[in-house]
Formats: sequence, structure tokens, C-alpha cells
Amino acid sequence: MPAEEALLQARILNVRPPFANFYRAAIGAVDRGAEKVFNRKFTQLTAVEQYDFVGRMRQNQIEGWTGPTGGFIYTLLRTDAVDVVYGTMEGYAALGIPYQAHIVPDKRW
Amino acid sequence: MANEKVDVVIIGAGCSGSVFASVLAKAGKKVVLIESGPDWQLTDLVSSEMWGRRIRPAGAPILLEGKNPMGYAGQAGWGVGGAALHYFANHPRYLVNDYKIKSEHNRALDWPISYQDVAPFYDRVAWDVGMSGDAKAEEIWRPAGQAYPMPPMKSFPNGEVWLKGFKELGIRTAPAPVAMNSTSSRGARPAFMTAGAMSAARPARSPIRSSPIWVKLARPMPKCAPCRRLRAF
Repeated sequence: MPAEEALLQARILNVRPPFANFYRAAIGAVDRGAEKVFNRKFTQLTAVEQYDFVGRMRQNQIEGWTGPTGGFIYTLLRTDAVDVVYGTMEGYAALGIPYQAHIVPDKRW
Repeated sequence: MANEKVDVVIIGAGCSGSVFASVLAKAGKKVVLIESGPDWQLTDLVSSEMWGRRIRPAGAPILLEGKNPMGYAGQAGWGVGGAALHYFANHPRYLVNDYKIKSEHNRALDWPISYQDVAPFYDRVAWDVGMSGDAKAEEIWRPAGQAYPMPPMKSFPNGEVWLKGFKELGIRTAPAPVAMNSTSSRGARPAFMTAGAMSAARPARSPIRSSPIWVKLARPMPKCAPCRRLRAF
């Protein structure tokens, strides 16, 4: 996909396209970090371990971290996730916030 | 087109370029406005958090250098309208002594011009863009000028909390001058209703006189009449 058509937060946070490269680097950094702390990849951690790991990652508190910084990865992924859920007309409704569109989207967002 | 002679070439159809083009075209000048991004139309500005991201810069990232690099792609814009497509419409003025920082504080530099040189243009922008504010309240800390074309926006409950605190501390405040309609009297743009989410391509009513409108104003005069009415977007 051309960068100008991307709707990813990566575009707004000045990531160099193609954005897939950033995501690959981020996944690698997360797995390396998880292996340093727990000796397992991130997907092999328990939910509690993942929660603890992400909490430390977002504060850049994991020793020997390599790749994109943990705080940046967290910000980028979280913003996309939150907007996909709550940045929609349904999401606004769920939060009890009037949408007040001046041009109503013809898709769900 | 490539060999056509023009009076003015403007690079970038953002907030400044589009207004300059409009003013020059209305004055009879032949203007070319060069813009690398899309030629957004008002109908493209769908109120959507996700689709609104299309108006952020695309392509090569902005090179960040220096001791404290700070990404600003989030603040910048892309295409006709530039950052004015999603700015927060705040139009604060510099203070009189902002122009004399070196003289007064031995920091940075003095401007080669003074507040008085710029003041007429502050007032003109307020009327051309369409701003709401309370000039008298601001004139505590700046020289007198014209009134704003519209009264100030109403305070929101959180603003009232701040106002109460400032009042108790004896700090005087003034409503922020903003390019939002506080009344529906100026053209078709309805009074602005909410705080936050003030991007043209996001939900809630847009506060801005969208730059694509200024660009339309710069286009051939026969098209200008309907665009003029659209100004109060």
C-alpha cells in the first residue's frame, strides 16, 4: 500500500515507510525483550506476564532492549487499537459522546 | 502551463499559501499555487478519526535533527489546506514585549518589527478568517485594536474551574481568540458546539475556515461567487 493511503499511526509519528518494516522490527524487539526477561517469546507468556512485560516495556525499563524503543512501540500500537475501537461512530456511542459529524462517514469509521 | 507567465508562484497550499493566493487573485494577479499533496475538496473531509489521518503528511518522513529532535508530522498537514485542516483554531497574538526579548531579557533575538507594525494585520486576519473573542479583555496586556467580529466562545465547565482559581489568585484572564463561530450570523458556518476533536476531517463541527475554500477563492472569478458563500464552512 502506498504510504499516502495508509491510515496507520506510524504515518503520524514520522515512521519511515514502508511501515511493515517498522512492525517487523517491533515484533522482533518485543520477542527479544520477552526472551531476556522470561526466556520465552511474548506469545508464550501468560496473560499476567504479558501485562507486566508491557507495563515495563512502555516505560523503557527492560534492560538490554534493542530495536525501536518500547515506549514508542506501545504508543503506536495502542493508539491504533484505541482508535479502531473507539474512533468509530459505534465507539463514540459506547462512550456516550455525541459524534456530531459534519460529513457522516459511509463506512463504520 | 509550463511556459505561461504568471505574476506570483506560491509553494505550498497550506494556511498561508492559500490565503496569499486568494488575496492576490482577488487583486487581479495571476497566481500559480504549487502543492505536492492531494487537492482536497470539502467533500473529502469526512468526519472520521481514521480517515482523518489521510490529511497527515505522507511519503518520506521529515528529517529530524538537532539536540532535541521532535516529530511534528502529527501537527503538520498534507495537501491543499495543510495543517489548517486540523488545527485547533487558536489565534493568540504575540505580546508587545515578545518582539523585544533580547532587549528586555538578554535572550534570543529582537524582532526587526514591533507589535504596532503587525497589529493591523492581526485585526484584518480576525475579520477575514472570522474569529470569536473579546478584544477589550485582551487589551489589558496589548494595545487597543478592533473588536473581534463575533463574541467569545462560551466557557466549558472545566474552564469555569480554572477561571475560579485564577480569580481567587487575582490573575486576570481573557477568552481565547479562536477561529470558530460563536454565533451563526456570519455566513453558513454554524456556531461551533464542542471543545476538542476540532479537526476538519474528524467528528464535531469544524471550527475553521478551511484552506481549500481559500484556494477556491483564488480560482477564476466565475467560480468565486459560490465559493464566497461557502467560506463560512
